[in-house]
Amino acid sequence: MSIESDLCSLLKTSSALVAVVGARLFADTMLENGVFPALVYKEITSGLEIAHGGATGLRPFTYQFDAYATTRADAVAARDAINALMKSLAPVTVGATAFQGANFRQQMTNYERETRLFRAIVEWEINIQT
Amino acid sequence: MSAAVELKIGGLDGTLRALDALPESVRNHAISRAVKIAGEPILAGMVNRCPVRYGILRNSLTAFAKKLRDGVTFVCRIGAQSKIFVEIDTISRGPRKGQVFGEVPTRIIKLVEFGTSKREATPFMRPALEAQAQNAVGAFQAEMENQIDIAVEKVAFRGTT
Repeated sequence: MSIESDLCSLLKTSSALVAVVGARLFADTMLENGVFPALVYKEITSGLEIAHGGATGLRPFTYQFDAYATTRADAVAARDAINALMKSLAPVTVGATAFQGANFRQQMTNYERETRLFRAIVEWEINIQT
Repeated sequence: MSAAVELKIGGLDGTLRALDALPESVRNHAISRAVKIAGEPILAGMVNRCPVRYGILRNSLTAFAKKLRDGVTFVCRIGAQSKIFVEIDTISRGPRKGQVFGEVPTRIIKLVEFGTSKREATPFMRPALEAQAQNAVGAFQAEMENQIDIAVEKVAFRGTT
């Protein structure tokens, strides 16, 4: 199992998120099936935490989560569900990935005129023990 | 989230204390120059990572330093040049034949960096900032020391004439 699929499994543990987006969780880009709300998650950066004694074994991954919906309320609700899940992320192992915690980076909302979709973006740095 | 990254540097107490002895105009010039130099490694990282189709975005990337209205904070903004329209080609057929078409880099930079519902995000600014932040601080400190030496010489020269 990859980190992405384990992250997907972790996201599915949030009942608030599943209540909004159902099973429409996509890595990198959305399938064009036109069903919304949907959530897309994409890895932005990944690194390796180095201390004076060498690598700590902690790997910070930055993920961008995009919630798309036909109403702003749905997009924001999906984003808030992500925020709640990440904020309360205690050390937990999902599949082969040991999630250690997450740090909030930034968030915003916008509206895509061409597709008439509301979008709520949030970025979290997720720490994983290797 | 904006379509440009801003670099703020602090914690270089020794270097920054040396600036207090300089006149304000000399100090502002020195800081402004060092802040711009600090942005160069990040700009280079962005240029390297920037996806290229016509090269509009990559060619429009720039770094510039500015002093904020609070009068004490300098920032280096790194992103696409604003208020420019880059011509790509002319339309070769149809009713608009002969018209020039092109793009505004500040518009496409957001679409590339954050993606859209139809297009996957291709982040190049945030990874560059993350990878080069430490180099930027190093470049800032080196240039700051250089600028202080130049400034001290200037002040000393003015004092003798």
